[in-house]
Amino acid sequence: MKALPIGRYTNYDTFLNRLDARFKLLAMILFMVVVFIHFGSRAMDFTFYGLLMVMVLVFMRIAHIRIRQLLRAIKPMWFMMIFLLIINVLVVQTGEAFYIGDFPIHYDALFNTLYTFVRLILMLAFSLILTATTKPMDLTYALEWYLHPLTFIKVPVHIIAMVISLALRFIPTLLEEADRFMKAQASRGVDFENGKLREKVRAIISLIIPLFVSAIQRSTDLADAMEVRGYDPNGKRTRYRIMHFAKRDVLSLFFLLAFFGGMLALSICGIDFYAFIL
Amino acid sequence: MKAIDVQHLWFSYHQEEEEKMILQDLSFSCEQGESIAFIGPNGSGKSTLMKLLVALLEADKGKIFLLDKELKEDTVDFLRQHIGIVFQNPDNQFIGATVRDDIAFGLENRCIPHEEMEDIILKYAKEVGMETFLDKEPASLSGGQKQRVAIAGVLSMHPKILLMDEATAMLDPKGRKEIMALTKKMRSENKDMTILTVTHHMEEALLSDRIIVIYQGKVYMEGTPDEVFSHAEELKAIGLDLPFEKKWKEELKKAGFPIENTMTDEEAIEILCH
Repeated sequence: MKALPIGRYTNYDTFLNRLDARFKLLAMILFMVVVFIHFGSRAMDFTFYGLLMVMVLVFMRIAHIRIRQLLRAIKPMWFMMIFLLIINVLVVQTGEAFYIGDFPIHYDALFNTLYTFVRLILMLAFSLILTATTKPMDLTYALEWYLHPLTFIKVPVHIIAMVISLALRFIPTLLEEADRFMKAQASRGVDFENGKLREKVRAIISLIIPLFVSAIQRSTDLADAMEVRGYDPNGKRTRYRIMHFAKRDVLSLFFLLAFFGGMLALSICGIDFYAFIL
Repeated sequence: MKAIDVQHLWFSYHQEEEEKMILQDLSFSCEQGESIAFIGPNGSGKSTLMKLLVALLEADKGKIFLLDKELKEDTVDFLRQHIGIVFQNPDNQFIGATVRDDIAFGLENRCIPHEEMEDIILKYAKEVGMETFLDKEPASLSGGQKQRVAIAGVLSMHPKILLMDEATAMLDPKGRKEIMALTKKMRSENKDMTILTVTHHMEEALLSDRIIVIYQGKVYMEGTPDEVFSHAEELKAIGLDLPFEKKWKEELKKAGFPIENTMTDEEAIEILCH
């Protein structure tokens, strides 16, 4: 079976795996916010990114994620980055510049691209770490927990959570089935790899239609199975999975908030360490 | 007390004339603790009947009594607590992310307190021999294992009536054997559980107390396995075969040996040897 783009849960028993999913979800969101913080100077910014990168590498080490996995996740972004660089060079016309022939290239343009690039890598890395150390189901529970307040304005949070968890449950089943349909169609002479765009689209349609039909069939079966086992979306249910905040979660939360708060304070005050040193 | 009493049931998916309907005036009843196998060619209405019994479909005419209560809109919720069904497709009835969660699903719906769930899950996982797979995801289980989990999920709700709607049809021979062995075990351990099996495999039908042959929406034949399988010709006429252990005796009988297919293997071999 093919791996999902971002990363799959790896079943290691590490510190990161044991952390509560709710904490990890919060941590990832905060890290993604923190990535966009600006400090007093460019040097400070990049020192901070360096610090985050070191943290990422440490987390990856703990979670048994290989650097290669991160590189593979970044790979599809090269094209976008080059495109972004060209746009930046053409649009940004401020600050100092150097010249290639008569054409000015502004340092600001290069730095803008670099910022985006580093931020994207960091965000990808954080989501990679989250998905590799947290079961999709636990993430769903965490999401449900955070969305719980919405039940007061009549949002059916538990139904949404059930839908997400069923979707997650059926991803491997449907992938396997898509694979089987692909082989079946290939054996009938459908060519998925070569040919013009139109032929390719036609080949894909021959895959998608049976997949849809089968998915609908599955969902009716599933609805029957859930109904006879007494599922009532609007009824009262007890829960098998109950999440507990452990001591490590509280401690981690403390460190996370301290880190986040510290960085925010540094950013707001605009302190530049390098200005003191130099 | 009759576990199931079905009276003059008519059903069709689309509005159709009487002679084209899926079920046509079908009646049968069964005692508590009895096990019945339904056999019949494809499209004879066996699976439809099962769906009617758990109220996933509604009959056009006729009545269904479960545990002496009529199955109606206001009794559905109550009666569903006493009836469980295992469907054909192992994947499409696996709801939880892991074996544990799947067994828990029914318990959650029943509002069983969280503290009691763990013990119940373990108990029924052991019952079906899946206790070492509790944290496995469905993708890493075989069809037979998934069906065993489905059975555990149903058993954990203590049904008085258990329906197996072609539960072995999509399994390989090994998986089918597992489920047949489990069915046998369930029958011996839960004497007052009524078990209805729909099957295409005659070997499976042999395990039950009584067989009901359904053909074109009607009861075509009814009786103990020995009685039903002694009518080899009538069964053949509607496209059904004998189970292997009946078949070889039937063939020998045709060849002129004084053998009946209701004999045990030993009796038949005894006659052959003399």
